[in-house]
Amino acid sequence: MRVKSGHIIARAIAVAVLVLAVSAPLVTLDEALADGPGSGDAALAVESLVRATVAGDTVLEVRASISPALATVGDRLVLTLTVVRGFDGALAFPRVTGEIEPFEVLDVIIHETDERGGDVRERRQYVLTAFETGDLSVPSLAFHYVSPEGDTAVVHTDALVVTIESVVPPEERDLGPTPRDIKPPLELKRRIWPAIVIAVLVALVLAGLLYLRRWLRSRRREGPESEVAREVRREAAHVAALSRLGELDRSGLVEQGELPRFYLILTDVLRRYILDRFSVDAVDMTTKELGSAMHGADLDLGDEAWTLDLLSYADLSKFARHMPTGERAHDDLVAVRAFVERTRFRGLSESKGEE
Amino acid sequence: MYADIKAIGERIERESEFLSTLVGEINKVIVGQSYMVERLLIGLLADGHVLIEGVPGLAKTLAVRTLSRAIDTSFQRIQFTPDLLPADLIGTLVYSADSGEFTTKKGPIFSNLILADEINRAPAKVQSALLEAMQERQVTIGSETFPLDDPFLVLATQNPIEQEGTYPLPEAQVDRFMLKLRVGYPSRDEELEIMERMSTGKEPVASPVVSPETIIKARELVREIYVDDKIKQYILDIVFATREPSVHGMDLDDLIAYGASPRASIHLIAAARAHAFLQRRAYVTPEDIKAVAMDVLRHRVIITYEAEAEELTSEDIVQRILDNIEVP
Repeated sequence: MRVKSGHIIARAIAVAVLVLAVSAPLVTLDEALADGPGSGDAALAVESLVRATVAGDTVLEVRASISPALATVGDRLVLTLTVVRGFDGALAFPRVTGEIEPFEVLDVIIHETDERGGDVRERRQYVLTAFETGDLSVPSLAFHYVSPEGDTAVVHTDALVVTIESVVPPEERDLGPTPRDIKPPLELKRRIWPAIVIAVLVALVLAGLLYLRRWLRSRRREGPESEVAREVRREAAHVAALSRLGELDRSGLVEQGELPRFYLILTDVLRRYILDRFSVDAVDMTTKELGSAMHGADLDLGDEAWTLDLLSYADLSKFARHMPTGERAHDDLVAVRAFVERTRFRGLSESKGEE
Repeated sequence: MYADIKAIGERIERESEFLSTLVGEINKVIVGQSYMVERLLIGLLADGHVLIEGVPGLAKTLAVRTLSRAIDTSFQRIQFTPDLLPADLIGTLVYSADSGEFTTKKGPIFSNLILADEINRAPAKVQSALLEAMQERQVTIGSETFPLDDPFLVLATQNPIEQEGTYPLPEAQVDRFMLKLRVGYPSRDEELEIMERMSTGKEPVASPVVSPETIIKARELVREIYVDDKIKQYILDIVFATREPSVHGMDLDDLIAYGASPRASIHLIAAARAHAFLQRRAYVTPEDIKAVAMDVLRHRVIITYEAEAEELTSEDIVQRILDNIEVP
């Protein structure tokens, strides 16, 4: 609860500050002008009054004043030009726009012409500022008058001098030397070599990783088989082949007349045995391809020829609906078994062969 | 049953005699390129269009022209250029001032053998017109539809180099070619013979030795060649391995963007039959499949960017599949 009440008090204070800030009087331009010459600070104003008689009896009175006479840099100064003249004739105010060195004109107000007692009173006010210090002078301003008869006259005001002071307190103005310019930003030498070395190292690491990934993938695609696994398969090739041949013999496919199926299994046993024992990929090869591939294997020419003959004959049964005789099928089974027995130690080390 | 196959084999023996004569006649003009000539004959016998790709000067055009002369068929060579229009190919309606009617002027596509030379140099609309005619075997001019002659065979060539200013055939259109051949350079001895043969001043010309009717008859016989179920399964294994390699134990999924379409299976069995016919065999063996598989599949297997990054081609992928699918 204390926290809550604290919040409420803080909020109330904030709202009060805000209301005060909003209701604080803002000094408008008109108010600034109202405080100009003739007001309370009139004693600080500098004024010039020029009277001239033009075209016989017309009296022209030009008053110029600037207030305040003492100001600091950036303060607003109000230059008031007032002309009192007769009804007739025309008057041209001097051009006080943009800059009148060393002052800048911030704003201009042209008051309505006041006609009283046979005179015409015209007034213009200029809000000025200056950013230089010292005694600055508003130059002499020229008013051009043309009488109804066409006579012309020019009336010049006197120069008005105001003093502009620095914002630095007077007691500090002469202390120490003038502040020097700050040093320009220090130019740092770019050390590019470490960045290059790091970039090269990162690139090398990335390239290495990519190469490793690619190598692993390609290795996986090739389906590497460990040397040990291959050797085990190789040594056990005849065992697996003889086992499957025994199963085929006992299956009774020949007696049932399912000779295409018999030859399909028989050639599969033979192809897998050649693959495992002689590392010739007979399973994925056609008979013709196998004929070429067996040339490099550790096989006798007679065995090569016999194998191709058997596979070609089996192709007839497998793909051309040729129906071999039961005797032929039995003979081929015996021949395959004999081939496996004959080559069971082929290509293995001597010691294993002797075992 | 085997007797039926044997009977077909005997018929093949008799009716394939023209092959020796035809090949002999072609060899009078073409030195080497036995692979290309054999594949052209497969296309002819299996009724499938052939796309031949090879660098200039490998006798692609000469081989096709010689084949057409030896068969005694009507032959048209169409040089595909960027300004060719479909009407230049299939024909158009011409207004006759005398009769005040439109008459049909048939284009060069109305021929037995079409040589579409540098097919990738013509814009898509012309390629499309040709490939549509290849598929439908008929052409519509105005409101009238005309069947194309039989045999109708399109042999198209394209150059693998100078790809600037060409319009590569989209995959869907390449798929309509039964075979895509890659023709290589002749051997040293073959090139020597080419030099000697071509420097005599008299270019050899093939004579007509086979009639189109013989070819049509042979085609009927080719369709009778026996394909066992095990062979059909083997074809499906190969084609499906291009779509789902992992199912077949191959880690190629990352390398294949799109596998072969069912057209591949259709063309593979047809081309294998024709290959068996060329071997004078009445049944298809896995050897026939393997012999034609590369030409049937190389343009139907679309590889991924990853495969390209590994500098693999569709041929490498197809070869891996053929090497890893168990032969029945």
